[in-house]
Amino acid sequence: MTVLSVQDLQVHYMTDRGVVHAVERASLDVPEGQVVGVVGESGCGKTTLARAIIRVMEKNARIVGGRMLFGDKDLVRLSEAEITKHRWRDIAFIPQSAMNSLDPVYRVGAQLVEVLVDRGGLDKGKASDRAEELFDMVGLDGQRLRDYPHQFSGGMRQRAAIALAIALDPKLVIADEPVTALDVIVQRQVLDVFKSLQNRLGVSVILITHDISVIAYTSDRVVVMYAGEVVESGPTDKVLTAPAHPYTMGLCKAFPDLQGSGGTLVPIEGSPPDLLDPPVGCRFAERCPFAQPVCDEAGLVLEEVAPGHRAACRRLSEADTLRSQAGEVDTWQRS
Amino acid sequence: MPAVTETGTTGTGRPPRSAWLGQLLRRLVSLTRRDPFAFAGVAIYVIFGIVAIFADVLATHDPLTILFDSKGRLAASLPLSSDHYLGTTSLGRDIYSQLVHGTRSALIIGITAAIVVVLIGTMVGLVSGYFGGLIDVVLMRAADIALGIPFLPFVIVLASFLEPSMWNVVLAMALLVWPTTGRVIRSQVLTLRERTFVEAARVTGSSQARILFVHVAPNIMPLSFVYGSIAIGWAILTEASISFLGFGATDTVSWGYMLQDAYLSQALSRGWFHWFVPPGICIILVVVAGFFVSRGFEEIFFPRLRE
Repeated sequence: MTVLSVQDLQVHYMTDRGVVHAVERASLDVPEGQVVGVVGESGCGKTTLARAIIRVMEKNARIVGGRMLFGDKDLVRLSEAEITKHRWRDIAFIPQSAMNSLDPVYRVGAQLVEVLVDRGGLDKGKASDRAEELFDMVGLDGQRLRDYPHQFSGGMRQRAAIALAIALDPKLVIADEPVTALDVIVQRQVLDVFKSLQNRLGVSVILITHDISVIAYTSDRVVVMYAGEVVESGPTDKVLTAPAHPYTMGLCKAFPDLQGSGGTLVPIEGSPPDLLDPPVGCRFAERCPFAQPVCDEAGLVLEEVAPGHRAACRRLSEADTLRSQAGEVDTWQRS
Repeated sequence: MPAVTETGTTGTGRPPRSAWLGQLLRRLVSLTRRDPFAFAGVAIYVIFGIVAIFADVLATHDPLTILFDSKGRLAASLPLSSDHYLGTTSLGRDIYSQLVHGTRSALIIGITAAIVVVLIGTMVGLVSGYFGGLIDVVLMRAADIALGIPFLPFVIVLASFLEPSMWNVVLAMALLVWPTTGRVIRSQVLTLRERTFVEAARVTGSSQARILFVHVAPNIMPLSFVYGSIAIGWAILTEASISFLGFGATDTVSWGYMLQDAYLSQALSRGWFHWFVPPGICIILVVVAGFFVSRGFEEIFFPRLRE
């Protein structure tokens, strides 16, 4: 069953310089109890997408099109009051700076209890018990509930943020770069907590990251975004082992491979297009080593490569050939 | 799942939550060890506070009564003695008693002015920073105007329009000194407003008032206290200046009044140091104590700086 289905979502920022097409025709499905990873480089619209789902956006951001079906409701159409009811209770959000999101002047436990009482409707006593339970679930000592946020290390604060997110038993948790600010050892610990909780609670998760290894470690499905568009989506193992879109191929090539032969890491040259005036055709064409004149034409859509695995590329039929060429270092180096 | 220990873990078995007052006292005690300056500041305030409260008991004479000795002669310009600890003025008033009563009026002015300034400044800063927009523009332009008006001449003008009274200083400070506090707090609120815990409160439907007073205000309290303790010294200094210039209250004894009295009586050229040195020292002590305490306040009230 699908918990959340985002269809052709369009989010624009109204700036002084014009309209920034931050998210364009983005679609993704979150199956119940699964982790969906959203990956892409900085500024590709990952955070905008995540925030659009709970409708916590910058003042100048507008959802101009698309649907977000959550159960029988379209989150795009809900009034502010209605969506407020869903936030945290049904859809929890772990923001990018979750580490710094705790109020420095209150004890961590008090902040957890506040949420449980005000949003969860528990009485004080039950809330305290639940707070200890939550801390136990994320692997923190219940004693530390009486600490202030500054007495926590980064990893502990991130665990506390996870505890806060799952406090009200949400159906969906959106985690925006939950481990980016942590060192790799702590990243691993926090991701393990995340995975085990996700298994135990059967909660669905949208995990936003720029780190493809985090996706590989945690996600059941992956959505690859480039310049505001979904360029490829599918089961993680399929997408990472047999990417169909040149951008995904490049992305995989740019990250170290644990099992691999330790080949050279190759960056994708260039930078994403200006979203004030994005190209009408494929947005990646300018940086794509396989680009052809047809790529600049409008009308590119996501097409099925295999069941559940879709990509938006003009040369999808040649994906296998392109993939073997993408394995060569020379392909990515601009002459 | 076993509890994880990471760096940043402090000792286990922390003391149970106890009364708020007890905690505050404990913090004050621990402050003396870490920050002797702040402790000195607190000590000076405590001593002056006791003197102010028990001024009636501590004073040996009425501060404004002209004294005569047993033979009916004016007890003027007497040196230090067991009867008059600091001697008498050229008009036969007891200097020690004046000093004691001056402490009371100094503290009343200082504390009232500080409270008023901090209340106005904090509220303006909170509202201006949090709501922004037109309110912000109006309040900040008002702040610019208030900052532009020279303080001492303003108090003198005020004193000549109103009855000469020590409350003029409080009124003037309320009108002109709040912008300093307000602007600093506003800038702090501007960054707090964007913090995730404020955003979380907002998007889950907390009322504006709740966000402002439960989530934002406690975070800027240390700043309010810092400016408050500085304002105490400032108010006392201003009152002294006003009285010294002769625009102060004539029916209340203050340190500034004593200095003016001494100045007009040419105490300096006559070498009556016991007359004008004590009030001078008191003014210095109170102002300095305010700065010392303001440093310590931050640590007492802001948990991040503790440990």
